[in-house]
Amino acid sequence: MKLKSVVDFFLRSPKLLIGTLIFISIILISLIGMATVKHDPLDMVDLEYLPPSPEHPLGTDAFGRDLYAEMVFGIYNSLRIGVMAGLAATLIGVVIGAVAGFKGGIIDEILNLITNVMIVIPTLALLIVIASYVRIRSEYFLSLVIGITAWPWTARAVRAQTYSLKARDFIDIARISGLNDLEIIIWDILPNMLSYIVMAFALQMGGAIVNEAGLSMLGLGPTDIVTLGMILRWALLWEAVRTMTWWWFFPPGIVITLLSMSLLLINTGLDELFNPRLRGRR
Amino acid sequence: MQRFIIKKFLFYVLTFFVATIFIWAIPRLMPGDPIKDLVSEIYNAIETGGANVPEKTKLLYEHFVKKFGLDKPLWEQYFIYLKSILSFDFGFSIAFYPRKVAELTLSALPWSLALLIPAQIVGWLIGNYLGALAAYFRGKIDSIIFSIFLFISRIPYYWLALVLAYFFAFYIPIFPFGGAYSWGKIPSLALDFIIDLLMHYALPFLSLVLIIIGGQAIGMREMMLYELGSDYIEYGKNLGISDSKLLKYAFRNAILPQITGLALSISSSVSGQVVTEAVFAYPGVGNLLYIGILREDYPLIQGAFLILLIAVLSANFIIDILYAYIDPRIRLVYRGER
Repeated sequence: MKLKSVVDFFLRSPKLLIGTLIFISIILISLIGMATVKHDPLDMVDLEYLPPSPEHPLGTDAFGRDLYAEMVFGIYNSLRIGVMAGLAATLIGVVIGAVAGFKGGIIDEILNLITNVMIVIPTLALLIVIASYVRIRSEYFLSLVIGITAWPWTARAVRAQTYSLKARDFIDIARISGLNDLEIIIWDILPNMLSYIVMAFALQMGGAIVNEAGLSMLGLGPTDIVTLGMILRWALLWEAVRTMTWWWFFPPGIVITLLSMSLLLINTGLDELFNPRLRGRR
Repeated sequence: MQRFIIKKFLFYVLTFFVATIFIWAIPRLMPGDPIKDLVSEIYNAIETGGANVPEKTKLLYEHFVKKFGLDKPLWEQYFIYLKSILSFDFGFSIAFYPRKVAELTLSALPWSLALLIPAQIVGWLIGNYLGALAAYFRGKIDSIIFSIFLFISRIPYYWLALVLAYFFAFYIPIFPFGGAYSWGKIPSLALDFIIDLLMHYALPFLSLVLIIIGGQAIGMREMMLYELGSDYIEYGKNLGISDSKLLKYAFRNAILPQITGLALSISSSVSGQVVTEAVFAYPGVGNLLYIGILREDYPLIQGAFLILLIAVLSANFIIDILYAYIDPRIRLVYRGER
């Protein structure tokens, strides 16, 4: 019964279904790969520049490292950064958006102005400036920085939602029963837009994965772990294009694109399900 | 109308100041004491040995604190910084010493604009046309076009740059790879130089334009589907107005938000352009930023960021004005006609 309703939920939106399938497949590939690869992904295991073969499904790079091992660990680490940065961005965005929308007046004006200012500043360039001042960059640091620069879109959407929820009757009832603003936001506003928050998180996570890879490629990625962006970084530095080692930079890019696309599909799919205005509009 | 323009202008000026506060505050928020590092580096370099070490380092430390103005109150430090920025003085570049950052970034800016503006305009026009077309056909064609554009629009700029370079500079060597013109050529208006320039231009341009097309097409398709499903189209149909005319109405309504989309797309494609320029070693501001990162050249990083920011803010401002002239609602409200 329960399972059937879950299946129905996914079947109602092909976008959500396809997005979820792609996303879960990539996670599974990574997890299964991590369980089977027995060595450190950054160990030299064979000759350099070997094309894909049964022994090394994705070939080896300029250091004789197995690219399949790098990929499965890279996906895992990129996803971790994506989740952490996505959570940070969503949290900041929800807090700012909800407070601005609920309080209104001068607080709203100021928060909205800050949001609009942050939207115009090119994210990656700002990330570069921040990250370049730190020599040893952990994945936590990067997630936090990516989250801090990515929240404005979420804040904008949450603010609009809060605005419309605020005018509903049950908020008046909550007020009459003596709840203060914070309690109303936490217990009455946020639960009612949980679906939006989940959707925003999916989008933020996709954006964070792409931004991490962009930063890493410019040499500002995590200093101690392999991510999809770091693989691209090494490919760029060691002239993978010039040496025609396509197997070095094709897989990470395809996976980044698929992850970002599947998360967008999940976002729009959920939007279609939760938003009656869009329902039935294919 | 004037009021609208002034309001927008003030907003972008404010944005610029907020950004300068970031740039100014970030190094100060980071852990560690750069002056201490500097002093110990100098000390290691000269290695006086045996002299009165603590006293000398203290003197040196105080000297640098004074020299960099770090003994002044924070707000005064910020205003000194702001003054230097407004007079376009970003200091000396470390990587290209003794050249100045202002000079480096200004000579790189035309290259970046030559890439950004045509890519943005061409991408926007083609993307919107294709998006409207997809919405018009609906059905199978639409879902095929939609899936392709969805995939393309999610490709990271930096990766498309690598892929295009691989296919069209090495696998089938049509275009050269790296730089804006061949080594040893002297910029001139001679025909063979212009051809050389265009050949180098093609790949960075393509890697930007393809993604912009994808993103714009998706947005336009959504807007068109929304407009085509709305009541006024239904009403028009019942009145017996021809399809082509209704399509025109829908298009005019759908294109308006897409102009705002153009402004947003500039912010994101400037970010993408930074990496694209780095991949192709194209001599724009993004490449300077990349060199700045590699060489830990902080004045260059800051200068390049501010130049990029000014470019993005100006572009946004121009689009806002354009939008105000095109959108009848804003036009009328600010003229007081409604």
